[in-house]
Amino acid sequence: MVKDRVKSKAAPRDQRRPQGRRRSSTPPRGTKRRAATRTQRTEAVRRRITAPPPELRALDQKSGVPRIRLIAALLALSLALAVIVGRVAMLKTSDAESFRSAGTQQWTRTTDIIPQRGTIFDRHGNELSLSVPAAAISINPKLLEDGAATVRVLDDLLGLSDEKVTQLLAEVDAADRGFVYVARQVDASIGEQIAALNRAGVNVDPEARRELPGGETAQTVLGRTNIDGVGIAGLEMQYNDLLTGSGGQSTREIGPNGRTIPGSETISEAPVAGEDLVLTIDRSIQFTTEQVLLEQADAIGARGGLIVVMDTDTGEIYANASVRRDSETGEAMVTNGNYVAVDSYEPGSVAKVITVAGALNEGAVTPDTAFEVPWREQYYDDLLSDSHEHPTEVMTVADILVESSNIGTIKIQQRMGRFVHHDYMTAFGLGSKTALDFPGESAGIFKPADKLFGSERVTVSYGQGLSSTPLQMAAAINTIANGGVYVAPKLVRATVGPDGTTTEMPGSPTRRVVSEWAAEQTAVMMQDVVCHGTATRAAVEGLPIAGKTGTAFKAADNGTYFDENGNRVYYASFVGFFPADNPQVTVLVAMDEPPAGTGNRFGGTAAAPVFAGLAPTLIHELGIQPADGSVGCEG
Amino acid sequence: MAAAARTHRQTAAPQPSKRAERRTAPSLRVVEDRSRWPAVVGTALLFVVMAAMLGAAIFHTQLAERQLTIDELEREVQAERSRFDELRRDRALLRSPQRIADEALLLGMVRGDASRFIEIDPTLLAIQIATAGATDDDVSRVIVETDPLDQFRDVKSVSAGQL
Repeated sequence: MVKDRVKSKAAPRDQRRPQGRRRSSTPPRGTKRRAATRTQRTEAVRRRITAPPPELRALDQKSGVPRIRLIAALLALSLALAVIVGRVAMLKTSDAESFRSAGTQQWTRTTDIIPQRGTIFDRHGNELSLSVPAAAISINPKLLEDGAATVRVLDDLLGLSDEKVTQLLAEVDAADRGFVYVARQVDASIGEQIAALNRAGVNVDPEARRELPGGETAQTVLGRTNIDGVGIAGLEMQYNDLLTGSGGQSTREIGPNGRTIPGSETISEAPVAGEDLVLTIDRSIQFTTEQVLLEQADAIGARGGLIVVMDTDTGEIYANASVRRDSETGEAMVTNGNYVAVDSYEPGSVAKVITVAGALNEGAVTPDTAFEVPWREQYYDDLLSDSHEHPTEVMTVADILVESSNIGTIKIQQRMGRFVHHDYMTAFGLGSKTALDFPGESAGIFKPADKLFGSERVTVSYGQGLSSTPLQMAAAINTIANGGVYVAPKLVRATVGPDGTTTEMPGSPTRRVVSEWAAEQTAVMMQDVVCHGTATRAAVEGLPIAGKTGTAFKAADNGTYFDENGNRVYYASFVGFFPADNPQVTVLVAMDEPPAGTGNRFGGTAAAPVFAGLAPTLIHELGIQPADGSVGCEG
Repeated sequence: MAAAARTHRQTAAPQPSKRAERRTAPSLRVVEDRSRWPAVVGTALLFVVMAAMLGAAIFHTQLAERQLTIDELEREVQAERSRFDELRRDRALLRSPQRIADEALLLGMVRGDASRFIEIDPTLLAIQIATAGATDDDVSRVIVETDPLDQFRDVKSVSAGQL
């Protein structure tokens, strides 16, 4: 084509030239040529700028016009650019998310951040349960470069069991799983050491470990969490949502070999720490309470023991202790379960306080009202009796309470009416859960008055034929200490929010049950119980104490009141408060299954001494001082 | 010779007529000189764009550097938080009644089994105040003690809720 064009260009030029002589507008070198006339010169110029002949122009048109080619090229480039820009726009808009997530999955790893679980404090801000940094160690057998060596290194650092090492080696050999836990909740420092190894396929994820700095102290009420930090018992379970907070997420970049790229971790969603609980528990009182219980259980050979210590005015629980002998080792230990709130027992003679206070409040009796009381009497189908034989005698209401006469108490109940009596028992909180709403809390067993059968109708007056939790009974007797006003027990004093602000919990609900006078008269009689009655071992020098003992038969696991050896099963208790003239603290002590056939099976011998042993600590920790002129039993 | 050639050329190439001359001549026209301001504006714009891009690059670099610093600070804060928790745990362990009781037992102490309320002789009280300057209650105030709960709240309030 090019050749043709050259030829075709050459032809007309030849045609224009005269034959035989070369014509050139360019003069020979060294010569100077000038057109003869102006016309000739003009013609010469015109020839030079004359457009090519039509043939040449046709050839030019055939090969295209430069401007059009440029426009075409521009359009093509613009189109290509538009396509590219469009694609980029798509990648950045509609397709962006899918590509971004796909890419992110390839080179990042997202980890859930477990929020800091709230701390549980005692009333003075001492940590009872808190979370400390720990680490979870896991491996990805598919990414391990030298699995056996890695397992050996981890074993050296973590001290794994032989079984665990064997299991890990099997996982490494199989290499069919992408995630295998090596150890959980290891010390954070060990986790850092393992992370510093920077071995492919070894993951170190932060987590928290729940610790009880006080050891067993208060674990009865605190409960526990599982390995994932979820509350599964006690307050940890009850307030799990509050303590947990909300989790977050962190993202870190990983290399092709699975190693984390240092410094690449970013928190994509910040976690929010859980709230903290400030309990009403006093750690020192709680500890001493548990110790005296353990000592007494060992001393008398009881199965266990329970103590509730509560503030008389506010219902705040200072201590909530539960001790039980381990069935295998035979050792008395602080329990995980809060049997103070969960287990119910027949309270026994402690319930006589309710009967007497109700009768006083109804005006049915006064402390001096006298009854003729035999040592035993037939009621319905049962021959009921006092704890000891005595001649039929005239006993005042005060005498009946001090000597803990069952028959006398029945007579008081009959004087006020058993349905009225039932109402008082209910008003004192028996038969319904307390405001604590503790997990697994028992309401006890207290039948409606019209459902009571046979002698149950009268035995409930002295605490048989019904059951209550130690917590319920402590709150009931605290009503007397609190001037006739029932105040619900309280375990949580305040919460501390994520921003550090403290929110006080509302006060315990209260209700008046008996008049102040009736409560006061009952308290005076209870002082006589400690000074002259069945609870003399609860007396504390220089401090007036009011209380009441209870010795009840306990239903054994076989459904009777006798154990497999044919012995009676007892539940011995004492409830008291002090200073009796200005009560500040109410304490219930119960010894579970004190040994039958010994003098230690009674409330006055098994439980009252524990009260006296605990009193010095309470006096010291709570700063209790007797009122001026106030004396104990020696006065 | 040259004159003969010129004569020959004049006879060989007849003078074209005015009409033919007009027909074969290209239609040329003199265009006006184009203004240069679009080029100037374009150049300026290009310069501004380039400067903006350079600025953006510098800005992004600065951001990345600051982010690295922030990340480092966050890691330090996290480490300090962890250390705070561990120290709290250690303090709670040291102050736990169980540990104190164990230590006391090792020292041969026993728990008191009774309390006695006694009247303090005013003379003794006066001597105590004269020698120590305070009674027990007052002395307790001398000891600098931070409430652990207050301390915890202070830290928690500045840690965005995540200790």
